[in-house]
Amino acid sequence: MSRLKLETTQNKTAFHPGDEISGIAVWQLDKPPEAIEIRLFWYTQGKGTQDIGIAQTIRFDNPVLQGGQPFSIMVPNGPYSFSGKLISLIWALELIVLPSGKTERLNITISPSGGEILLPK
Amino acid sequence: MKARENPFSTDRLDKIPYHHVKGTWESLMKRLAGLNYRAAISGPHGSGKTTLLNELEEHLHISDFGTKKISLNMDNRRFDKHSVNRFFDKISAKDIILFDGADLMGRIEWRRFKQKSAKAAGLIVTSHRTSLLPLLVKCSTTPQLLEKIIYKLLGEESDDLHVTVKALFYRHRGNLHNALREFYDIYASHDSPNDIVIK
Repeated sequence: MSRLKLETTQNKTAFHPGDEISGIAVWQLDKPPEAIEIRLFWYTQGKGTQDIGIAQTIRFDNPVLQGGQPFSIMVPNGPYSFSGKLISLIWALELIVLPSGKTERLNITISPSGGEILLPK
Repeated sequence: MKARENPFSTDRLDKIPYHHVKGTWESLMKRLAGLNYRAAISGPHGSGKTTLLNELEEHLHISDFGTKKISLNMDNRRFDKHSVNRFFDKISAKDIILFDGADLMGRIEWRRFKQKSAKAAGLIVTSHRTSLLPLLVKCSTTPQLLEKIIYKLLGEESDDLHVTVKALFYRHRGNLHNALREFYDIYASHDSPNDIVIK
């Protein structure tokens, strides 16, 4: 059975623009993958069509079946994490195995306060 | 309620699988092969045509077909000539064309499109009209289907909504897409699911 784990240093999930996100990606797979990718991206959730934007991708080609990889990513200036009634913007780190597409996701927040901005009702 | 917590958010609705009113995937694929992979999925707005077409793609891949998707909708009602030519340049004899919203195409353009599609292994369209290609499935909805979907999204919380679900179904004339969007709005205007009282 495949196992994927994505952990940030001290399990931190709230970040400011310009911060560094560091952590470790760990995997245990049944089949040798072509590559492992760690992505920092945002996506929207709500009433309308879903949008997505990838801020950074770190790729490791031909990784071993069972391993771990420390990573470090600079937090971009925006967009900020926010929520309203119609739309939420959510940042996430994702560990992806290619080509199977197996993923492990860790939601985080990015904003000047470190928390999710709540839009007025 | 925050948009990301709304049980009726688009991403959650997109994960609801197509519900076969009659038959199974096996019988549907058999019928499709019998129609030489040239067929139409018809039905009114919000009855699951696009959902079925999207899921059909996976089943065609399992049967070793390639697929190429193209669509028209109320916002984009026409293709420019070059985009259609570019689309057909990429089509191989192993590909099945999945055309969502084919009935928005004019009759002459449709005839040309159909002729060009002869180089593909198949052409499956969604349409409100049944005359474009032989009928594969006529999608339809029932209040019970809407209730089933609501139950999938809400779990036991949906038990209290029984009457409302039926009322919404008829108010939207069986358009599940619109009924579920109204549910989104109902939930969006409440801070917590516990505050929701629907009459």
